[in-house]
Amino acid sequence: MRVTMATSRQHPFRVTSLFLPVLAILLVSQLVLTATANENTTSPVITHEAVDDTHGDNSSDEHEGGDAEPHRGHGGVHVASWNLKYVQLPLTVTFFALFVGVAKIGFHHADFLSAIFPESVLLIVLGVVFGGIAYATKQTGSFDSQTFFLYLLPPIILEAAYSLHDRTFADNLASILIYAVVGTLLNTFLIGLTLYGISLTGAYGNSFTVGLIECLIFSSLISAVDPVAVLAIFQEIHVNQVLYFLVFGESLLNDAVTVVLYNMMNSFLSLETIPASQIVLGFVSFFTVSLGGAVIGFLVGILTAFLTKFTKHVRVVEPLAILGMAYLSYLLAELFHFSGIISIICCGLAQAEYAFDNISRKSSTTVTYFTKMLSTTTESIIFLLLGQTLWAEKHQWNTGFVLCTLLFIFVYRVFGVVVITFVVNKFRIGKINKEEQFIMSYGGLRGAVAFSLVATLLPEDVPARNVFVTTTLVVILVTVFVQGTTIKPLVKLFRIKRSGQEDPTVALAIHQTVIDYVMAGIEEVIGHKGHNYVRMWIEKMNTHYIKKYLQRNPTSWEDEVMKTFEKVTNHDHHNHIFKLSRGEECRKNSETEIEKFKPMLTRGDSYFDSIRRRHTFKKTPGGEYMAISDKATPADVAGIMKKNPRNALHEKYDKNLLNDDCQDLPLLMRQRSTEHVLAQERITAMRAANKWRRAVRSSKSGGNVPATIAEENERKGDREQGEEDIVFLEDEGKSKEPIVKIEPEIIGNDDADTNV
Amino acid sequence: MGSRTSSLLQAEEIEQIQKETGFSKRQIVRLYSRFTSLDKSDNGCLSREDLLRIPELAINPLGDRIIHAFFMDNPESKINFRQFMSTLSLFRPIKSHDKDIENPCNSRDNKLKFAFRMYDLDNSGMVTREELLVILQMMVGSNITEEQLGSIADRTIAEADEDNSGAISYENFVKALQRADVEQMMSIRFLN
Repeated sequence: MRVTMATSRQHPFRVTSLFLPVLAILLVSQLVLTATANENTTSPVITHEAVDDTHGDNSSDEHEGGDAEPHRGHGGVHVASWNLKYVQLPLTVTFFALFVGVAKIGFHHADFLSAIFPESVLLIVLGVVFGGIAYATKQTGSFDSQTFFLYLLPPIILEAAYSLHDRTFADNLASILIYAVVGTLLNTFLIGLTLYGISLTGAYGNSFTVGLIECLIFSSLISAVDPVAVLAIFQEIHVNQVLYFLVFGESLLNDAVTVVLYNMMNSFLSLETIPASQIVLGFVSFFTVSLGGAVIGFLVGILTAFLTKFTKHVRVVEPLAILGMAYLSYLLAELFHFSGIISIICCGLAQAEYAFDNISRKSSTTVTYFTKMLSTTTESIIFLLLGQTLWAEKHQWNTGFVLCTLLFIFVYRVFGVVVITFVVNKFRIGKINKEEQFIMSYGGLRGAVAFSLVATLLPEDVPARNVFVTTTLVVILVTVFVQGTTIKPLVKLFRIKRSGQEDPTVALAIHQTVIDYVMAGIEEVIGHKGHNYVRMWIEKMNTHYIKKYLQRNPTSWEDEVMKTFEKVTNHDHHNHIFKLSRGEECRKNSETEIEKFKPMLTRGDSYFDSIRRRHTFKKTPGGEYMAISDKATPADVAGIMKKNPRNALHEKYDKNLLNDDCQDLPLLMRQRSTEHVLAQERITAMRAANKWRRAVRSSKSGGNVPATIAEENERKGDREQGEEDIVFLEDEGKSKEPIVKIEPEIIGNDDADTNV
Repeated sequence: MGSRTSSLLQAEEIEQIQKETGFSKRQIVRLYSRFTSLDKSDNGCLSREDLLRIPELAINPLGDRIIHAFFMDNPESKINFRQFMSTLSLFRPIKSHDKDIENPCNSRDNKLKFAFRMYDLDNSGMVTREELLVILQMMVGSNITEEQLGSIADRTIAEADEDNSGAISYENFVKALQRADVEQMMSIRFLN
């Protein structure tokens, strides 16, 4: 860690060096892609348009092909041979995934970028660069809708579903559903009709006209807020829970509306006239698609819980059961043309409620980590591919259409949110205020779902397809780039209530339950069974009937409290050991010093943790790096933590799994022991300094106390070295080494003194 | 139903309650009909027994204490409609115009005081370890041992108790719930 610090000071251009591996991997994967393209097969991630052209190349590849399969072709032993055909598909996928991983590491270290831009923006830019290289080498990759829906999307939604297992979500479910269903419907029809109306006036130019159904197809796919884009942005701005779940929940649950409207409009295309019965059927299909998906998901989730009830002696299959069943729910729903997204959400929620208590702690960690890893990776791949498609698709630009779409999606989004909030607020206790409404409207990002839908349109059915594709891409880019980048400052500007990192306390868990019971009781007194009553009732049913059959050891409220209690006491336990071992040696004479060091030893981010990050170094106007003062008050430390862009980005959602270190006991112990050594050295140094200062004071007769320590240093001879280190300790500003080296004699002296 | 009960309720009385509690007229009329339906003895007052008759409240682990809280300021164990309403007004959601009034009845402080009373049975202003244990026992089932419960109680007190008194004072309680959105948690939407 110290090495990093040193290099950071000596090489201000470290970021460029960090990008080198990124570029290297990029080039390598590009090479592989090129090679695989020559091999003429389509990979699941990248599909190649020029399939027909490359068919002819087969003969020219004969030579390589022969080499690739030595055991089949001409005889003789090959010491080494080129066997690309055999591995190319997994190889491409692996390279791609690893590239994404390396790119993320790169962004992580390029603070100046990630402080301003969200990761999704950077990935799209990278995708554009990547696609540019591919384009230059005549290899065009494109975004494959099937890959997207079957492989890339499910992990993200599953991970999101687990995060929805939260009381705030349940409390706000009604509002979220209204936003998702009514809001999306409203937007679709308003945008579709407006675009059609403008088309009638001929504002898009003479050569371009669109029909009503075409407009509605387009509006049905463009009006839905995209879960992937929203998640990517909202994870990073950590607004309060209610706002987060309102936007994010809406983006997830509007899927059924989008699917139904999109399919309905597509089927209308082939009809000459649209009979009313078709519209009624469309309305009915909304219920089958959404509820069918929900029921499949819930049943599969229940089945998972039932399955995991019997895995006590076969722990190893637990993660498989959870993840496999979740994917099954998605595929089953898609099999019947139901909403796979809604299905996997319901499945994930049921699993989180019932199955997670059956599986071992390690299994649940595995599930959490695996879904998190998978979803982060696929999310990045999606954005990267989106960037690439900029080069791949056949574009047709229509300024009028693009501008109108951009304008109206924003106008109607605001309109929809304001109208629905007006209604919803009448029934809510915690009202959604104006600023939050603005963030809700502004957070309506469009993303890859819209693009995959538009890409599946056929030019034969929809003549305006290419215009739609271009417009969708522009909308996605504008919403993700402009809104995604500016939403964070706006959240700050409007002083939107943020979510803090809250340590759970036992007291809070208990008080919360008491209040819940009180509120349920009061609702019974006034005879109006409101949501408190419903919550109590559901909880009772859950505990008494459902959990009994689905869980090995049915959990209840007290287990929740016990869990919190264990967590808190564990935390305390670690802290306690740390303090004890430190305190025992210097308890006698340095109570005050312990006070001074308290900020470093407080829970969570200890001071030494932050020293070792280079972010505690400020860059002075002169260009040199300066360490932030040693005498950091707790407020300072908090400030540093906030200013550190990396922490600001990953605080809430912990996308990069940073704060989970405490699961790792050995690591924690190691970390603590190094901190301990550092703290120890520092305390000894401080003590020596104080002692020495006292000695100086007493030796000088009265008023002749030196003004600065530096002066004293000059006067002192023998113990110069040690004192200089102490000076550094007092004023770390110009220091190069944060670690104090103390002359052995001083420590010896000091120890002798304490013993007296 | 509404018209019959409202006739029993004097117009001035409604106005007065409206002023005291901030409920709308229709809410008051509605709650009055609830009040009379609870009042089995038909004497314009509610007794503990009347409230205990509510079936769900009887199985609510804190039911006794909730009822007790209604009769807090009333030694005769009878409350009339106005007292009933003034207790209920604690749970009215906070609206923007409430901020203009000095010390509204549904303030955060009042809500918290009500919650605190759930613990503080002897009204001493302090929640002792014993009182906390009693309330914990009411809420938990059999899965948890006496010892575990004791350590949870100790922990809760230790978290809140800043003045080392071995008990939770009201100030400690407020501080423990500092981050919680009490205004929202302790509000009910009253029907019109």
